[in-house]
Amino acid sequence: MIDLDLAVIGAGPAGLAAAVRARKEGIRDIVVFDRDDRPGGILNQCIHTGFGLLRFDEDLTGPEYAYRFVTEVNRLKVPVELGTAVVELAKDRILTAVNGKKASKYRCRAIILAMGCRERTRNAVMIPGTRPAGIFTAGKAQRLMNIDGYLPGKSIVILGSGDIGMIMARRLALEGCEVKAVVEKNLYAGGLIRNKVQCLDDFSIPLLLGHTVTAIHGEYRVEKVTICTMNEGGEPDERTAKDIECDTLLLSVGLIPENELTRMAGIGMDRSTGGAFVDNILETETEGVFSCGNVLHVSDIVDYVSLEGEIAASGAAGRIRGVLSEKRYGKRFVSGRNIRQIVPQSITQERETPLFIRVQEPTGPARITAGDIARKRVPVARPSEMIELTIEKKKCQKLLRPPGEGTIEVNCREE
Amino acid sequence: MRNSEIVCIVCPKGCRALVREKNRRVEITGTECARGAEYVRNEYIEPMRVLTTTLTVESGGKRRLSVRTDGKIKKKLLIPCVRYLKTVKAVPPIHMGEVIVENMLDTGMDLIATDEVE
Ligand SMILES: Cc1cc2nc3c(=O)[nH]c(=O)nc-3n(C[C@H](O)[C@H](O)[C@H](O)COP(=O)(O)OP(=O)(O)OC[C@H]3O[C@@H](n4cnc5c(N)ncnc54)[C@H](O)[C@@H]3O)c2cc1C
Ligand code: SF4
Repeated sequence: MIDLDLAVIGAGPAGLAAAVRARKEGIRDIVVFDRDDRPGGILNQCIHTGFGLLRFDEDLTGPEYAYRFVTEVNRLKVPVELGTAVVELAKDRILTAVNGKKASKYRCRAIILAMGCRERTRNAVMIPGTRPAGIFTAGKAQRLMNIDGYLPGKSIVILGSGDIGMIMARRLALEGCEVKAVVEKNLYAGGLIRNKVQCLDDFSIPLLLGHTVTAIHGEYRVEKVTICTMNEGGEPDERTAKDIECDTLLLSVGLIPENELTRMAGIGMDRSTGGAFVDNILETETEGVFSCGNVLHVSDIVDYVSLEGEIAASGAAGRIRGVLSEKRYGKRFVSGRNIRQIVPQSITQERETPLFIRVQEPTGPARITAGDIARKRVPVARPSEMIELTIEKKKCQKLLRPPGEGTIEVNCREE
Repeated sequence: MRNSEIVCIVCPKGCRALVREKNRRVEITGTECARGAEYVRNEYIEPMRVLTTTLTVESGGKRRLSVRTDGKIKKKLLIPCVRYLKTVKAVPPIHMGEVIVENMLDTGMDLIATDEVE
């Protein structure tokens, strides 16, 4: 058993930002674990621009954004154990890490969970039909193209208009593939407008809203897919069935936080985010265990992911130094009108707190409020775009004195 | 006279602008601020984009090198540039930000590495 102050699981943008901040706050004994053979996480395959606009005021590619943090981690000499997967997490902050050679157990004073997310697969959306070659998740196809250098196919249909799906549509179109359609069951695009314009419209790729893929055909390789429009009940209308010939189907139907370890440790989860239940230092309900980035809730903007890594690291540093008050229940946020999810889910510490909110349905100009402690006007609100609402430190203090439980309702009201 | 619809992407609001061209005069309606109108005007006259793609690496363990143009190029040159880049091989060692192709196809922009290969 090896004693360790801080273990960071995952060397994506969340884990790297956490490691840098923890070191800067004076924590000496840190190890970052990643099962991949290089740090940077998902950013390494995101070769498009769109990263760092908030943090650096620059439009960087994924690898460029990651590089800035990897350089910092190296400069601060934080050890990163690559090719090392954490396979077990016990309640008492003991983890087991495995690399090609051996398994090691670590007893940690604090742990930061930064494992990212994975893509929903075909089974999760249950499309009937044959099981030929040529079906990929969009992120898997992105990795094949951008890192390994393989083209997944030549004529492509993409199911789901999330950002990854749209970015892959452009990538494939630029390489000379024919992208026949992006099929979206909702009546609005799942990803950012910027991506709809620059990835689909730029290459005249049709976006079929209110449609879904109902069958996949082909014996060895995908030959065609059947699409239908969605009826008002949210079911495909078989009478509208139409075939599209293609050799490849990409699925961009959502991401799921990768929380096997979190569950293994018996840490409380939030069903609306698929991540752990955390307070405003991103500490889970288990003292000393923190969660940040896509493993906590799926983020569309990496800048927020890095910010969360830093908040978690400050919290972890506080725990390691023993300066934080004992873990207790504070005030909990509850979803009111048109709110799908809120992170963090509670406030226990007196500090400035960014709330990350997602709405249920798209709206025009709206007012977002958290009880009477914070409010903000937004020109539009869309489920695909996270809204940040900052609660001032003063308001947090007022809320927590005297201590006690209670709830704060978060609402999005159209104006 | 030409009419076209352009969605402004400068802020999340996503205003739908209508551009009318009459006797070489461009008239824009539907934008809600000056920055948006400026974007729509440029987008109508000559849309510009940053190109990101990957190159073959001549040797070494890594198969692809990610690259981008050092600024925006004309949108209509994206595909010609990608075609041209199929003939270009990156020779390691390559450092972050290193120029791989100078003034690519006379776009006025360099192609730079967005990753490292030893
Ligand atoms: C295709 C795509 C396009 C995107 N485009 C943009 C964009 O344009 N702009 C923007 O701002 N954001 C974008 N994002 C979002 C942004 O990239 C992510 O939010 C961010 O990378 C998430 O960081 P993370 O550190 O939480 O997770 P990840 O980057 O996924 O890192 C998690 C790391 O944990 C490791 N890991 C997981 N489990 C274990 C384990 N048990 N043991 C050891 N290691 C483990 C993984 O190997 C991985 O390296 C995009 C995301 C995707 C997928
Ligand atoms: S016109 Fe102005 S308000 Fe409208 S989307 Fe563009 S930047 Fe935003």
